Amino acid sequence: MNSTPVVFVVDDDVSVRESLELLIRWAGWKPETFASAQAFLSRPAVEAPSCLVLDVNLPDLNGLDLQERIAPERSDMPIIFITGHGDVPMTVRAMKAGAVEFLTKPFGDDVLLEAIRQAIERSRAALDEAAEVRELRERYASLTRREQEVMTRVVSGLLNKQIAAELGTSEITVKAHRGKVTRKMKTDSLADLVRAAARLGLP
Amino acid sequence: MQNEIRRAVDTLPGLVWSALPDGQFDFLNQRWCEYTGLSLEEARAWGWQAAICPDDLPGLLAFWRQLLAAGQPGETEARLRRFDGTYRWFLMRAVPLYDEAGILVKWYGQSTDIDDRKRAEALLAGEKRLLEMVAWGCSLPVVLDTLCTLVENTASGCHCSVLLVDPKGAKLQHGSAPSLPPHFNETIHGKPLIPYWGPCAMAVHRKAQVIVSDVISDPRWATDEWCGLALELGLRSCWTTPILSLAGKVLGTFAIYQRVPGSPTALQQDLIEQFTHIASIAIERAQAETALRRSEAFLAEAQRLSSTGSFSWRVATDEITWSEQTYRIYEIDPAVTVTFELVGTRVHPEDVPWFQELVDGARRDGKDLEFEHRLLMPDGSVKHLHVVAHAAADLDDQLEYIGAVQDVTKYRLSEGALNKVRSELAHVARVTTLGALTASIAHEVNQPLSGIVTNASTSLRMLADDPPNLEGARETARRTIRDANRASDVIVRLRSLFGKKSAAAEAVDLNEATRDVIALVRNELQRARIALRAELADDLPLVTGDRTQLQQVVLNLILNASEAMSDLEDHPRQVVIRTERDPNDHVRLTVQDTGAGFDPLDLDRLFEAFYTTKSDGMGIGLSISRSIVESHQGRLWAAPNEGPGATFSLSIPRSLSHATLPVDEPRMPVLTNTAASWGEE
Repeated sequence: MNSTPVVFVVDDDVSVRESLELLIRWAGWKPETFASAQAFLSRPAVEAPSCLVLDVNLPDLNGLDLQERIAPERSDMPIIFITGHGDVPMTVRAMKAGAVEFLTKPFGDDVLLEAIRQAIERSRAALDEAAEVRELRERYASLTRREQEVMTRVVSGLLNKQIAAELGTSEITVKAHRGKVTRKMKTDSLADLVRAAARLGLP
Repeated sequence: MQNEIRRAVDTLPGLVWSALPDGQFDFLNQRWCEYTGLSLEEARAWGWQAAICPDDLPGLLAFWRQLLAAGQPGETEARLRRFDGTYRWFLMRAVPLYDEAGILVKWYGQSTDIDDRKRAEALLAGEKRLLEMVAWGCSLPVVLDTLCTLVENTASGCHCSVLLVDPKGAKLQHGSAPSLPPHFNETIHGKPLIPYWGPCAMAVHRKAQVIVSDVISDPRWATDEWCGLALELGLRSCWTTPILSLAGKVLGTFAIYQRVPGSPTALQQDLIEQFTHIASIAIERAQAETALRRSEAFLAEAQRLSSTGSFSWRVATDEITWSEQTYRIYEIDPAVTVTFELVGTRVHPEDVPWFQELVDGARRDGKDLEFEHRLLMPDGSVKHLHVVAHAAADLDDQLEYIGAVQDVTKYRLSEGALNKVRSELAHVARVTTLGALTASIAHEVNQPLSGIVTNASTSLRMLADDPPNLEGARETARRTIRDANRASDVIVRLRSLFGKKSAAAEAVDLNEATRDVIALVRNELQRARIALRAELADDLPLVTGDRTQLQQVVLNLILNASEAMSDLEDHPRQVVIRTERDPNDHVRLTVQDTGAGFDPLDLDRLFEAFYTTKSDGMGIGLSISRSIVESHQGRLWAAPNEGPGATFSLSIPRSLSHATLPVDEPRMPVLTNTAASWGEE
């Protein structure tokens, strides 16, 4: 993926928004600023690595509540919290819920940049991971039912002979299916196949 | 013929005589002789002198010789002795007879009894003297003594006494008895009226004359102490008459004692009536004087105690009179005559023009006045005076002001001190609020600070680029300045709200003041998840007052609203702030919340000092707020909503005139030109 990473900034204070916008652009990312949680939620998702720089105190929706709302769907958009004042409970809650960083204003810009970098890495990894899983799923979907049955038994450690006995075919048929599976799933070794199956969440 | 004339002359009701040119009497008529008891033989020539009162004789002789020498008619008065020895006043007239040759040949004379007239004249003169004494204000004892003496002289052989009744009407008091011994007077003084101590007490009680014609035989007093006393002094009869005031109240008694028994003759009764009347006048006058003096003393004392002096001003002539206290207030010698110029030397220079206007207005319109002004004393101290004056018409129908001046300096000073204490207390309350807002304030300031730090860093990075991004760095630097100004604004706002200043009076736009407070408190509300809505009227009039103090009230109300909703979960937390123009030209501000509300029974307690439902509250916020609003001539009240929560309202009268002292808090001088022109959010 080569699209420029996007950094979302949600803060109701104009000084903060604009200064971050300048900094992020200088760093080579694409900033998008919003003054409220609502405004941000209405923006459709992007197909690029991204992260969210979020103020805890927003006029409409509290930042932590927003985190709760979007966490399940948006693991590819890690959150960095910024706040004018913070207390420990707030910090703990945020971090436990998976925030990358929790900074108090005024923060050093290098700290922020580093956090954004990490977040984007995470995002990129998450997006990559998601893309790969999607690919595997497609491959798996292209298997016939028989082939899928064989694959399941292969990755559970059964010998060809045993699989043949279970499925009521011959060993050779099993071997043939197995080959097809390997080719379609594009795996190099048994170990690969096992890993692929695990990623697909197969029993 | 001569006999006829002789008979006629003898019968004439006058004392007739004739004398020779040398003065010897050659004839006196029968009446003369019968009256004097001298025979013609005895009275002839110079014998008649025996019938003249020895006191008057020298004067009479001198007069007769003068007349003889002058040869003109003349008359004089002298006392003639009656056959029984009593002397009576006679008017003696003599007329010369000249013959044709002009030679004096005979003197003819007549003497007329003028004794009654003389006595009456003497009495009248005495009365006149007495009344003059009363009118001139002679002391009562002196007047009464003179009265008694006069009566004693007129009706010889009697002793007079005047007794007074004490103010409570229960005892006898000695008035006057010049010819009675002190022991008698002392005994009577203080005796109760009842039971009757002597006939005088009876006369007082019965309001009627009491005649004791013979002390010895009168059964009423036979066993009385008084009886013994009278007899000791040789007094056999007593005639006592009550002295009545104009209104009919008994003032005392006038008693005549005699050494012989008897009852008053008609003449004597007349005398009694006349002198009782005069005594009444004298006593009433004396009582009125005493009452007046007491009342004056009360007034003077009251004026002194209340630091109030009185004055009168006759407008047409500018005649001014002051009471003693007024002189004292102005610190001017009471002997000095008061003029407007003199008053002007004391009126505080700053108040002079306005004072002058009032005086001119009073002269013109003749309306009642009430106002306050200051005096500047010679030692530099200032006095505050409260003046009231009523316009009235004096006896000549001219405009006259009667008024009072009260020294209210200590009230004004304590008011000043009170205001000072109130300001201090308000400051304390603000500072405690400051503590509560610390988190909010930190947040408020950190926003622009964050911007500043980030922008400055970005600026450095841009400069470190290869090639350096100069335009970007410039832009970022500009933004830094703008953010710094924003931070400065927050500080300025804070300083104005929490700095210690004495109360000032200026024109205040309540909308603007409210917006400032909202800006300060916005984050606090957000943190507490409270939605704030402001509905500020467009054409809100200005009010006159202290901006800081009014902002404090608004801040207090908003924080209270926030507090009231702090535990709210089941419906949205909302605060609505409204400003509007009241029907009676007041400016009204309301803060409505959706919180816990309060019991209407607690309404009064809410505004009490130290009443609080907060665990960490001091409870002085609302009481100070109310105090502030009231010192702006306004009202602060609260009412529960129909729905959840309560509404606090304040109403302040609008400014009627332009502001007197505009007080502007200066901006913190951070930057200049470019930043300012760079536009806000």
